[in-house]
Amino acid sequence: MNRRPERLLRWYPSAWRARYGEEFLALLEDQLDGEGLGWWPRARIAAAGLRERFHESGIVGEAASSDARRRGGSLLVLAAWAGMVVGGVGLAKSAEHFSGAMAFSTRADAQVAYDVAVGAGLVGSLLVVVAALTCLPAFVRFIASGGWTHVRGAVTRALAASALLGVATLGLVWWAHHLSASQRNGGDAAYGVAFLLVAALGVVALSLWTAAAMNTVTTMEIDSLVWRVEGLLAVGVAGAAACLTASALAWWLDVGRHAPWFFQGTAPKTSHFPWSTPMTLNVAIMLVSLVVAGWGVSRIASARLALASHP
Amino acid sequence: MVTNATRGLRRPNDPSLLLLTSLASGPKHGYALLKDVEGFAGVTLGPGTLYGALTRLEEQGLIEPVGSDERRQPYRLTASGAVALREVTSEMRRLARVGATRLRLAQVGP
Repeated sequence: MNRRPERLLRWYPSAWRARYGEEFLALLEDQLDGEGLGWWPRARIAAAGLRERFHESGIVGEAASSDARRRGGSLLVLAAWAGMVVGGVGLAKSAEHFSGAMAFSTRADAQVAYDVAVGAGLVGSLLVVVAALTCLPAFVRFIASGGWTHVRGAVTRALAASALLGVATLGLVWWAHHLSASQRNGGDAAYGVAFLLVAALGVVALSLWTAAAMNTVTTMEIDSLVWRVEGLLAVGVAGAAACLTASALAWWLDVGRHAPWFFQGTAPKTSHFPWSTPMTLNVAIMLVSLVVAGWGVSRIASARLALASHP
Repeated sequence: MVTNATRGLRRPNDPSLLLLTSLASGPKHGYALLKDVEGFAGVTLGPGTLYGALTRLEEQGLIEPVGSDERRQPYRLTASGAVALREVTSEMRRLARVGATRLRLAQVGP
């Protein structure tokens, strides 16, 4: 590990480093007096740097302006939606062929819950696309004024991960064509591991694109009216996230009540226990994302209060 | 009275309040602030916490840097900072008085 204190400044936003960086390093020199900095003080400085980044993007802080609060809240909802996409894809995978495991007379409620989850997923994704298009004119101005240099690193990393994901997915599809249905669904351990690795790569690529979008939006100049629209769209996305989570839970409960064996992958009426590790993981991801989205909505709602104190 | 300036300065161990109190005796740079706060409050602030609080106080206009070419940048209270510190300390004094009075009443009560 590189123990030079200057490296710690990387945790802070660039504007903060430009304003306080030198004096902060001078303070560390005074404090350390030639000694090394332990891992705990380093971790606390890193946490303070991240807190400063949150302040800068309007995610926390009472002093933030109404636009900064809308921006911070919208970015939180965007990050939450990335989590919802991961949970939603997990739900789709867990629910594959569920109707075949249920008697015709009992599958209606589960089907409605699943269809509502899919609908909420589509509506939320559509709203994210509309939000991105709303920012497009500002993005074009940003790139035209030399903004590419600020976001090149983040976008390049996301592109590289996506390219790797594309190649890995093609390889996995080619492999799957040479396997039977039972081998693809848990019968072949090596394929199972490869599937999980590709899924993890998908999560990494999605996270990098989300981080690139957040980095770009934080750097761009966007006017107040656009932030109002983005705030409204973000509230809509958070609503879709709540709907998706509720319908995923309803689907799990209903399938668990009428066909618990579906989650064990065993023959009908051979199991009465609806536990499912993948579904637990999917719902946990959705619930955490929902909490983040709720925080984002509260920041957007607090923009009205900020308007009163920062006219 | 809680105003925008004094919001968040209500806990006696709040880093921002400790820094305002320290700067009330004159301008100081980061390391001098840490040592002073440690001396009068027994609180050891980390560098991240110190600069987080300095950043917020400067944003709110409660402190300002004193012109200096040194790397060790001193800060001083602004007029608003002095008003905010006066408001908070008088509120704390009032609470302390109420607490002490009630304790005395409880001691002589039934």
